[in-house]
Amino acid sequence: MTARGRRRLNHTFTGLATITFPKARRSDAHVVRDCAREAVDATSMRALPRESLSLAVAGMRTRIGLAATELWHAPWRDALAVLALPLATTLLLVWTFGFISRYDHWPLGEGWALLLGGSLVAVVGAALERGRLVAAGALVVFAVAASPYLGFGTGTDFTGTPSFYHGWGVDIGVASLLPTLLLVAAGLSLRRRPARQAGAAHARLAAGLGPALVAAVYLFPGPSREPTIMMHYSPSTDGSRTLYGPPTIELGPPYSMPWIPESRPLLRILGIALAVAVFLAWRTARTRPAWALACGLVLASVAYPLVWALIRTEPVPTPYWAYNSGYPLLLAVIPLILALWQMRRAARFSAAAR
Amino acid sequence: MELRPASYFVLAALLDGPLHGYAISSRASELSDGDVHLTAGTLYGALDRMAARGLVEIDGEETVDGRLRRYYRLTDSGRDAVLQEADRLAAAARVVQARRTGPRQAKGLA
Repeated sequence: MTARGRRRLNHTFTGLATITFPKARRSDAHVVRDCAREAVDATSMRALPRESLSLAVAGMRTRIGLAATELWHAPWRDALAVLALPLATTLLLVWTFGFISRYDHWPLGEGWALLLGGSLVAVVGAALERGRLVAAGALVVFAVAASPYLGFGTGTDFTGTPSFYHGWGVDIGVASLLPTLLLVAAGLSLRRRPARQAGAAHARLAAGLGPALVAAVYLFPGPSREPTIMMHYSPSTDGSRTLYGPPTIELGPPYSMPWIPESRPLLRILGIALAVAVFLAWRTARTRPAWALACGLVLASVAYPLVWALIRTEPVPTPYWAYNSGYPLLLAVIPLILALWQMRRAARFSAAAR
Repeated sequence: MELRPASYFVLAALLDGPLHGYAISSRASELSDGDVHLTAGTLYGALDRMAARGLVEIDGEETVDGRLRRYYRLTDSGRDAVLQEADRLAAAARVVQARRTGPRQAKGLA
């Protein structure tokens, strides 16, 4: 190989390996690349793979280190603080949907009372910017939502009333646990502020309670308790044959257990709200990194139920194997990567602004 | 502060004055009789860490034949660190040397 050819090969490989360096460290990348080129020129072409690999590894290490530093210094507290009201509002909406669909089942179990009460306290706390109130309400909700999974009977609360409901195949109880923990953190991150005008607090309270109220109006009256349909067959014998005539139909009393329908409207509302929030947060990440970070946190916290709901949605054609065994868990990597990307991007903008 | 062999020889290479990346790598290899061989990526990773610890600092940059070179120099604490490490290694070597020469001398006397 000619000297020119070797030089070209050297430049190509080391140049490609330098791509792994982040843009912010471009100058460093050129220094390391030129050092590698010098080493290859001074020794032999056998050094080229080693130097190129070393460059690529150094670039990846720099990229990861830079990302970790930026994420570490990102405005997490602000991000959690902005989450308080939207997340509390969403949780109240979620539990309102769950409660309304079985409102005819009285007395209301303490599990449901605590879920609704805790969510309401969290919304009021977020509206008034009282962090401890938010954290306390969210902790109550978390404890009650987690209780069936800690041996208090799956799917039932302390009094035997079904606690949770399914939204399109997603167990809302489990799906709510991580976002509820986020709400606890959001409450603890709320800074004490000078008292705002009453009008602002009222507006925040209205914004927090509004969706749940609209849901209540939309859902009431809930699904009517349908009577049990009983079909009686009276066989008659004709020689050796048994004949069955048309059945007689009787309507029995309503089914004694409450009807637990799948809450598709809720999943649609949550899905659309999340998609809009992710899109807007992405667009405004430069000016509002805290919002983008917050959005990334929420997306990461619901990655698994989101995948579970999506693959069971008719418009998303999914092969049978995808929602059996552990595949949904693997597919959850996609929203997780999107969430990480969103947070990394916001952290970068935040670092640039500092 | 104990230094890894690669860091020790990088700092030792800088004792004579500021050097650029490839020169540091060559000098470190030479000083260690070829035991320490640093690729560009490894070398700059080590220099970054040492700069963060305040052992070295950037002296300047220049472009030679279209290639960017960054020069590094030792800081006072870098100089102290490499000298202390040399003393520590020398002391550790003396312990073994004393025992190696002892029996030989004894054997010679017998």
